[in-house]
Amino acid sequence: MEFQFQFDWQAAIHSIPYLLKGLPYTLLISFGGLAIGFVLGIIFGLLSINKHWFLRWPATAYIEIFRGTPILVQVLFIFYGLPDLIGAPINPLTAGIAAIALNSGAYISEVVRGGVQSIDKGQSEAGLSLGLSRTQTFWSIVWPQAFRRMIPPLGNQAIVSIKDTSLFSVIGVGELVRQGQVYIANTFTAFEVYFAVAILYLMITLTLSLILRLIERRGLTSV
Amino acid sequence: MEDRAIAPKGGSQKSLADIRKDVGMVFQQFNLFPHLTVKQNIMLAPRKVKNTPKVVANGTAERLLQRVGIADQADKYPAQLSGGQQQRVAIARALAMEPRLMLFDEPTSALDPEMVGEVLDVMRELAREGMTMMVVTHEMGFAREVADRVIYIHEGQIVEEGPPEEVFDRPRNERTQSFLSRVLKH
Repeated sequence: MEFQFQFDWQAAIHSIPYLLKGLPYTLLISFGGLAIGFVLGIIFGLLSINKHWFLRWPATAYIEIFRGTPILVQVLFIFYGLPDLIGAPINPLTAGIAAIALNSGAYISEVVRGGVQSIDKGQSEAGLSLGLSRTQTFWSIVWPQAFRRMIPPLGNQAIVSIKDTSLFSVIGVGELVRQGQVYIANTFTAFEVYFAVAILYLMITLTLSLILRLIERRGLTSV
Repeated sequence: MEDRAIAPKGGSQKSLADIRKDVGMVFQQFNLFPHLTVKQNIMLAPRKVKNTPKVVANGTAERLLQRVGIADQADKYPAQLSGGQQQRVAIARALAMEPRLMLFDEPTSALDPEMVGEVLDVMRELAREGMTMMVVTHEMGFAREVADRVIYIHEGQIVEEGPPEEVFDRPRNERTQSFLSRVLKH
C-alpha cells in the first residue's frame, strides 16, 4: 500500500488564530493558579516547619496528598466530584485554577521549606542577638535570603504548571489543547495542529525561562 | 558591671529579648546579613527594635564605621569585604544597639593570621573606652594585655581564674600550666 505523508504548513499556520483563542485560558489558569499556589506554598511551607505539631501535621498532610496524587485525578475530582458534595456545579475554569493552585501550592510549600531551611542558623542567631523578635528576624533576615534561593525552583514549578494546564482539556476548558482538538475534528490535520500547539507551549515556557534567567542574574549580583 | 543587673529573674522569652537589647554579640563566623549592605547591616536593629529614625540610624552607622576604620566600605556587601573587615562590621553592628556588655565568641579564630591584628585593635580600643566585654579567645597575648580577669576553662570546667598576671605568670592548676607552656612558646 502506498503511503506518503506531507507536512502541510498551510494547515499548521491556519490553525494558529483558532488556537490562540485558547491562549488566554492557558495563561489565566497557569498564572492565576500559580499566584494562589504561591500564597498556599508560603503558608503551608512555613507551617510545615513550625515547632507546633498541630500546625505541622495538617500542612504536611496537604503537601503529601497533593504531591502524591496525579493532577489529572485532582482536577477530575474537583470538577466532577466536588459538585456532589457542595450541591452546585463548578465551572471548568474555576476547577482548573483550583487544581493548579492546590497542586503547585504543595510543591511550592516544599520549595519554601527547603529555601528557609537552607539559611544558616547563624543568621537567625545574629538577628535575635541584636534584639529583633522572632518574627522580625524571620521576615527581614531569613526570608529575603531564602526567597533568592527559591527563584530557580519556583521558575521550574511555573513551567511544570503551565504544561499541566494542557490536561484540563478533559474537563472542557477551551485552552490550547482543547482548541487544537476541536480544530482537528473539523480538518483532520492532527500532526500539523499538535505541532503548532507544541510550538505555542514552547514559546510560553522559553519566554518564562528567559525572564527567570534575567531575574536570577540580577539577584545574584546583590548577594 | 554597672549599678543595674542585666539578667532579670526567671527565663521567659520576653526577658530574654530584653537581655539581648543590652548585650552585644560578636560571632566566630561574623554572621553578617549577606543581602544587606554594610551600612544596612548596622542600621537594621536600631531601625526595627528601637524605631530609630532613618537619618539618625544612618549617622550612627557612619560614625561606627569610622570608629572601626572602614568608613569607605559602607555601601559594599559583606561578601566584598575581607574577613577582618567583616568582623569589624559585625562589631559595629553590635555597637549600634549601644550594649552595656559585649560577648565575643572566638572573634578572630576564623580569620587569616594577618587580619587578626586589625580586629584585636578595635577590641583593644573598646576596652580602653570602658566597654565591658566577655571574650572567648585563644589569643593569649591579647588576653594578657587587655583583660582585667582571665578565666581558663577546660572541658567545660573553670580550672583557673584571676587577674592576668596571676593566671599567666603563676598558674596554680596543672592543666593551665601545661597549656600556657605550650602556647606561650610560639
